[in-house]
Amino acid sequence: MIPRIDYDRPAALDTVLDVLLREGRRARPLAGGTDLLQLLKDGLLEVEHLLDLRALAPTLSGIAVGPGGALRIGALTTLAEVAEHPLVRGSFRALAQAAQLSASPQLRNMATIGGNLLQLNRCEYFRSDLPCWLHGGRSCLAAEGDHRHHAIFPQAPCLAVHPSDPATALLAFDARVEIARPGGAVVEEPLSARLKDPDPDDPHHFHLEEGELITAVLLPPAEGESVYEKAMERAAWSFALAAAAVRLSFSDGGRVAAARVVLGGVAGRPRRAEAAEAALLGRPLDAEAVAAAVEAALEGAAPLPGNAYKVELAKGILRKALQRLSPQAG
Amino acid sequence: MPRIVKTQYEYEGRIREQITVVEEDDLPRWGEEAQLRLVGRPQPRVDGEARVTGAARYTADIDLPGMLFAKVLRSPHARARVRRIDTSKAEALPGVRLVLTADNLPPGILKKGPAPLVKEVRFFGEEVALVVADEEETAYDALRLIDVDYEVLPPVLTWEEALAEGAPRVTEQGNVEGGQPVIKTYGDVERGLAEADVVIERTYTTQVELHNALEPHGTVALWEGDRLTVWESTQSVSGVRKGLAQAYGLPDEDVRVICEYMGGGFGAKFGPHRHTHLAVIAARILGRPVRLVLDRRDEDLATGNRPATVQKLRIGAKRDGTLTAIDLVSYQIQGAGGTGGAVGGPARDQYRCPNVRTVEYGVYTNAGPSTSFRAPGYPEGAFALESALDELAQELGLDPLELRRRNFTDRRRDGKRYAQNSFLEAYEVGAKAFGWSGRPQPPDPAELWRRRERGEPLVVRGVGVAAGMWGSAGWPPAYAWVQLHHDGTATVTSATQDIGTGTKTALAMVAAEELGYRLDDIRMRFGDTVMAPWGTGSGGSGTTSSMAPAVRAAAADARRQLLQLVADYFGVSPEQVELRDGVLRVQGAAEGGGAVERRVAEFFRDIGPINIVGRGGRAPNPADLAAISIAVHFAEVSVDVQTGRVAVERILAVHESGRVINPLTMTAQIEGGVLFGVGFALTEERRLDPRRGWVLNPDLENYKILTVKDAPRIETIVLDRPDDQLNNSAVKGIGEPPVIPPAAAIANAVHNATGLRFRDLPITPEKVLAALAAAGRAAGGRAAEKEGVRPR
Repeated sequence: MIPRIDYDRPAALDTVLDVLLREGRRARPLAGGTDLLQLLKDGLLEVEHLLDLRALAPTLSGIAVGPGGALRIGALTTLAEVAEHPLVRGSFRALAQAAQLSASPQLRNMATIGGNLLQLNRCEYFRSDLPCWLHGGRSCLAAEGDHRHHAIFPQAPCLAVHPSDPATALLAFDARVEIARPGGAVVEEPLSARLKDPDPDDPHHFHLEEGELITAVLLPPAEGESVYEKAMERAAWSFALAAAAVRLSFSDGGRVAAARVVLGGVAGRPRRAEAAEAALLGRPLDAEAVAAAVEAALEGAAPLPGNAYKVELAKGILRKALQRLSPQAG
Repeated sequence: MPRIVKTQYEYEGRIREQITVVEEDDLPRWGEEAQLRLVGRPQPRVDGEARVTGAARYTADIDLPGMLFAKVLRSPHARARVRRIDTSKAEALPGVRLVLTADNLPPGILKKGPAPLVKEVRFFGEEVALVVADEEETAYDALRLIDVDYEVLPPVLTWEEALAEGAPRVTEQGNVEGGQPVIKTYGDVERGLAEADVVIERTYTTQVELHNALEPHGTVALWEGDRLTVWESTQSVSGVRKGLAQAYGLPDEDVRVICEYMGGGFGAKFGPHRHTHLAVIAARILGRPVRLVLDRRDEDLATGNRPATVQKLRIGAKRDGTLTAIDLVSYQIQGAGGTGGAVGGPARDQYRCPNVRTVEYGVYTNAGPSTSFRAPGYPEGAFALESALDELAQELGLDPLELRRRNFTDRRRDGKRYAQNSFLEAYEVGAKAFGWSGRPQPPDPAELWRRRERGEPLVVRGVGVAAGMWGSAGWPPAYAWVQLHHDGTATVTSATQDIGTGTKTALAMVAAEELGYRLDDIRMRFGDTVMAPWGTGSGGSGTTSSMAPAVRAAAADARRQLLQLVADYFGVSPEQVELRDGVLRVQGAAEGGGAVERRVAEFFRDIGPINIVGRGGRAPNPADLAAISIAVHFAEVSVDVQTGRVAVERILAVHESGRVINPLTMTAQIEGGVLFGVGFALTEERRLDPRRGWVLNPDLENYKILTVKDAPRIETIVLDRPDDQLNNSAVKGIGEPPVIPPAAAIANAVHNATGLRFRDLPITPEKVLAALAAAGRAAGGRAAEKEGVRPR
């Protein structure tokens, strides 16, 4: 039978959590809806109950500054707000850039930062409801077919990449997520601890227990300069072929004192390249250091024939990011 | 008086002959010297306000009492046989009125032509069943309840597979259109190649492109007794009426086709299509109007596309650049029984060359059938020819424009002289405006690779040029009526249509000009076949060039009738009556022999009812001349060596298409065409799963048309050169020429920027990076080799 969808707009967070716990996956929170509504129309998610969060916007949206310049970004804050907020643009520039380079103006005006972490992958096979591994098939159809947009770091069997630009940038800031749990508890965990690869039981890239809701993204005070670079098939409204979020701070002597290097578009999760960070630490950001970091970042890549270009592309995008942070770049 | 003629005309690169009825046309031509008040001056669209305010009603806006909604179930396999369809669950869904399949299509409604639902599936997305329901959402829901048991068969997906011995037959005729290639030979290409000092031999390939008109295909069908009315998003209301009348065994007069407003067709809307028939049949069965509007996925799977091409090209030239031979073997990959364009057109007709051969294959595969797409065959053919000429110029050390100048031709391949060929002027004007001279030599790509590896944030720039031609310039039959009304306005009626290009505006200008009326007093009645004479289909860039001469002739006829009445009324001769801006000036009518001035409406007020209808038809094209619209595009690109992304920074488009009627809509056509061309060059590509033939990007997220951020700066130079030997209005077409040169101009500019030649469209980051890496590795290999032979 065709499922009817019930629609509610709860006035209290507790109500949302109760319903989510009681109904499990049959219920879903609705924020901007830019991905969820399309998934429902395409029959890719079976949902019986939508909980529109807009009545919670006064508490769950907006950007607040904390001690030392930390930021709390409410889960319902739109990507447009993230992209334009002066505090984000100031100390968390890579995040502002990542939000700005996401989707299109219309989508950014609706899409929220919380929803962005919960979007599903963009694999053409999965989205076309073809019998791929995520849909219960035997194997990844992209691996055997067209995988030009897919992962170059092994994550068998699904080769879909994480679609989010902000998630890549958030990892460069050691972001944490604030999650409300049934009964009123609120937990804070590193974003990286919640990221997962999609699987047939749960195609999401983010692990949520039943009854949980992302309420905020937390950014600890950030030192240094950051940048987000993204390679696309056209100038806008495209998911990343490869992306790099880099944050560096320098010692007085111009040597790299702290580094975060995260690659997007290359794996099922944004990929923090710790080897590349290590290659930069304690060195001036010169050609040798850049070359060493770039090689280290892509070490272990195991592309398929149709996406081997992404290795070079990721190198190129990382070089561009590092170059932008070079003290000489101005 | 009407008369019958046998006449030839060129349509999208192919010469057609026909017997048709034309009308007298002894009007003075609108040549260079014509003094015109309206024509040639920019005019906003007469329907612009209706379009931007939402007042314009498109097919999807038609909402009739009792109307039902239909949706199509499409095959999820590229090649399959339907063993069994169970529609019982869908039929049981409340609100569902009808489920049609190939098994229960009632015989006798559709009297001629293939059934619009299939059991032998030949492509992913082919029509298998139809649901009609009270609501569109119910119809969608019901589609999911239809259970089809398919025998899935291995599809034929590439042209090599299709041509292989023992390949499954995609169509009953086999896998080659017509069973053999179309071969055209002029002179002797082998001799020409033997005589050449330099021979360029290359293979160029282009991708499948999807139309993606903003407005999807759609039909609303209404039967009233045995009379049929169809609202159809179409490029030819007259053609759809003719097709429906034949298919359903009805007199033409009992079929009415309406398309008042349209949101683009680009070649894919010359129905009746399968969806048209499905709506008409369902409406007949149910006795209620049915609306079937396709969605984006339907559009991208099953309404046509630009076929991919493989073009093997050999060009021979003397050291001074004189062409001695052009030899083209092309394969168009047309999907399941689709049609192809004249890929060999540019190779045959654009340059002087004594020895030319074109061998054109249409190959069928298990994919969505191709159809006409804005200048069918020409962007593809020009990409190969104009890239190869750039390669030849490089080889000869000649400027690419100089090479083209030296091979200018004043006649078409069949020997007919071009009435006017403005290439030489366009090269000169364009080169000057663009700043063409002194472009730097391309860099060594291996050096770019080395600098890339060193981490430089390197963006290189280059410029390129390419030319394009288009021979279509209108044809008969095309008829119009101009009726003068008592209130001083006039209506122009024809069963042609404005598909979004500005046709109504241009032809209102023509009517006002000829009548001597104000533009505001002209009403346009297009896009409706009832009580309207045959109007041309909007293809081949031929709407204005077919219709303007007819509208002008009809306006002149109405004006003659009016002036005669006025002359009789005042007792003067018609030569003493002037009509301008809707004001009559009658010499010698006033007492004392002075002039009387009166608005047309005032004059009619004095004389009671009137019946003034001017009739006009388009004359045949001149028998001894050929038409050519020309385009020369200069491109400036940047290439990010780190990411491989090509950005088009600037296109200068120089065009000559005869007399300009409305510079505003003409420029809009050029700008839109350039954007199509840039998408063809860089981003657009329908992708198939290589094993199963599933379409992977039937949506606007993954099928990459340009965004506004991808749009280059576009400068247009229009050479306003009335081509007055062709027709009374001296006009040619502009819809298609601007899409022809951009891809080649961009590829040539990318070569100038990088030293890399891209012979396979689109030019993606993947291909750019691969080519740079190959150049870098080759150079590295050479360096290593040198080191290896160094004595110890």
